[in-house]
Amino acid sequence: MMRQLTLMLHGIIILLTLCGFALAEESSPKAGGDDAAEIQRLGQRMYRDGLLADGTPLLGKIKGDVSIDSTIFSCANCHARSGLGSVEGQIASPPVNGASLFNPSYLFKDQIKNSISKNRGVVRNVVPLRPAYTDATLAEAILGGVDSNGRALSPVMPRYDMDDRNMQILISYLKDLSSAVPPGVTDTSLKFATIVTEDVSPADRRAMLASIETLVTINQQTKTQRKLPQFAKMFRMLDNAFFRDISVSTWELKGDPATWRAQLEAYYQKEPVFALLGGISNQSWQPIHDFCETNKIPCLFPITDLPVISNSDWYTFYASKGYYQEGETAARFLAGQETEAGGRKILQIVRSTPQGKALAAGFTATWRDDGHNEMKTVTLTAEQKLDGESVKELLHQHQPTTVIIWSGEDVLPALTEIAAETDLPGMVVSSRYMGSDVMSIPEALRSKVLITLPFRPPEAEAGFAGYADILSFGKLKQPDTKRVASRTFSMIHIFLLGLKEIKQNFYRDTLLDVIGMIPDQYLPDFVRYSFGPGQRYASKGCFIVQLDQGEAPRLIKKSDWVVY
Amino acid sequence: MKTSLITLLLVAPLTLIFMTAGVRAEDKPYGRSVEKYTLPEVTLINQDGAKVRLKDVLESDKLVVVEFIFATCSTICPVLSAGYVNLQNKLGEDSAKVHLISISIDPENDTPGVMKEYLKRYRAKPGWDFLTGSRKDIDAVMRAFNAYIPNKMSHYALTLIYAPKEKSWIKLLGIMSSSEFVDEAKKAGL
Repeated sequence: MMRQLTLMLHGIIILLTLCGFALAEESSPKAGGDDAAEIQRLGQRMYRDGLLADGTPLLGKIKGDVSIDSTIFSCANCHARSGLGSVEGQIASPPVNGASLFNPSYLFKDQIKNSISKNRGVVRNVVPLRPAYTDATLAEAILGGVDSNGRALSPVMPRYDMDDRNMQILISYLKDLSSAVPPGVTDTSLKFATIVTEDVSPADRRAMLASIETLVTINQQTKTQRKLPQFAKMFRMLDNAFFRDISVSTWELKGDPATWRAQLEAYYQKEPVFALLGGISNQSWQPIHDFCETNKIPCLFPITDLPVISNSDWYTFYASKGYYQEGETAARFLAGQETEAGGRKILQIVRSTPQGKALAAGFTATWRDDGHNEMKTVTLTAEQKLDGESVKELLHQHQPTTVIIWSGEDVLPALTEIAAETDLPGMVVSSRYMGSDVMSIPEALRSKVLITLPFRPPEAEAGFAGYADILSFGKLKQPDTKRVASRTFSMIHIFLLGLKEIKQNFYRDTLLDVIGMIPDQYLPDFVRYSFGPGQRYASKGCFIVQLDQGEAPRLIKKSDWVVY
Repeated sequence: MKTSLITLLLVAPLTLIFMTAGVRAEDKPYGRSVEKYTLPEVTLINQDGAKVRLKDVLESDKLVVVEFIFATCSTICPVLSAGYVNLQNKLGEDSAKVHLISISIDPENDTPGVMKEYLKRYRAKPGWDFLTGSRKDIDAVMRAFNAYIPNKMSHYALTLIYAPKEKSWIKLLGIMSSSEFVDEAKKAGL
């Protein structure tokens, strides 16, 4: 009963959020002279990286004597990359994009009513919170901390020190910041696309697309709902301001991944979209990631276990670091366990596939970062055999205290063949790479084999059964064993939270900024999706587990969700 | 009845949107009180990956300052950390007498590597440590200081100074100037 209620509530939330659209601001970008591009570059550097035009740090003071170096803590930290601001605890950093600064500021309810009235040709008489800034009053705010009403700004806003030239550059940048309506957005519509690559099975493709189709269907239902008497008043009140028709195209990528980029560019040219919703591929997400970085297109939570690992890239949000994260976790776990006098001797056997390489990359980078250099990696080509004999030979040759085997379906037969051996070292395998085989690891080896499990253990996941069906509406003929429908559900859930939060500001960076600020989400598959400004991998965890004894073994946790 | 419930559900999120506008911090003096806290028995991890028993670090003979922050925080943490930088600079050689501690409230993201990078970015001098740990342990620490927040984005500026002689904590709520921070450190026994 409780679960039905939860599912119903989720459905309602999705419906409500779809109703909660706001209107994008009309904007009027102002360009400078011939060197507009250079001014834009310098302004962006000042705003994001805290450097003045001559490359020295922009300095300021808080509370009179707390020095601030903007290379550590820049405008973009608080006011967000899009300039639409942030709210943290009791501190609101207001919007600083041109459209906000150079127009009067109103209470949000007045702002909405004003824009609705404007569409109907009516001017409302309402007192603004502050008048529009001019270049002079804005400079006064940045230098002296006084707003256009003459009131002191919040004490956490630094009072900056900069000359006229730098001030002009910054003001010029702010005027252009989040000013142009991005591709894919009109007063009545929002265009999205999702991606399916050729290697994806028809069942997986269906599992993702069915949920996305439901998103579009519910959105279209608002058209019927507005005719219903019980909603009529609300719809009249909100007018068109809150409603956009959502469309989601499917961009199919075929052939060699080296050609995907050109295919994507062609799709995008033909059909400019605001953002990519999800997407699915069994291959590396790199070409799609790069396309999004170059064209500044948000891509939300694609279903990939082979994401791009980067600390600074901006446009793609991933559910997790995929295989890489499992490798990372295994290394942290082993480093934390290290107690043997002679240290741990690691042998890493890596199948030369994207999965094997990603697992090994995560392990190696983390193991080395932790100050360990001693490890041996043996790479197996796609054809090279891994069986009991070859494992025994490698163990004999390298004498490791722990052997890590990053390979797929050949791991179980190999382990079965060596199960009777004595003096075997500790072992680590990936449950995602081995698949259901992992449950058949021979009893004799279970206490020796550590398993990386990037999802909730099955007993805990039972509480989330049914989420995958909320949007697929039973359209799927097979159970969602590969977590495609459930991960799509999570993507849509987070997208709708973001859409609600961007309010009237349909800018791409704003969508990314606001998703970066949402609270923890408890959804299927991963223990927790957590966010933070600039963070791009929502699930940070992976369990290390072992099988217990008996005919129907269970996965026993040997670690917390996050291992340090 | 059914209709009004649906209407309420439809209007509620919109009302929330309206309510979020216009929040603004005022420039008011920081709040001050003297408190006693019972610390939990937890072991955290510092920026070098070393395990640190919290009681050993906090209840020492040294003056200790504690703040809750996270590495990707937008507003409050950079301001608090700027306070640490300024305090270290202002104290000069005396900065070795104060142990500055930042405790992560985003422990899943703030791994030792991330924390080390953060301290490097702020040009932290020795004597400033950043601690992380399991979410359970971090929650226990926040609760012990009566500073628990379920969502890191709703966090607020709080500085706690341990006065070793009195074996008590000075709780400071809000943002301080550097001279106020130094004064408070002196009152605590610097």
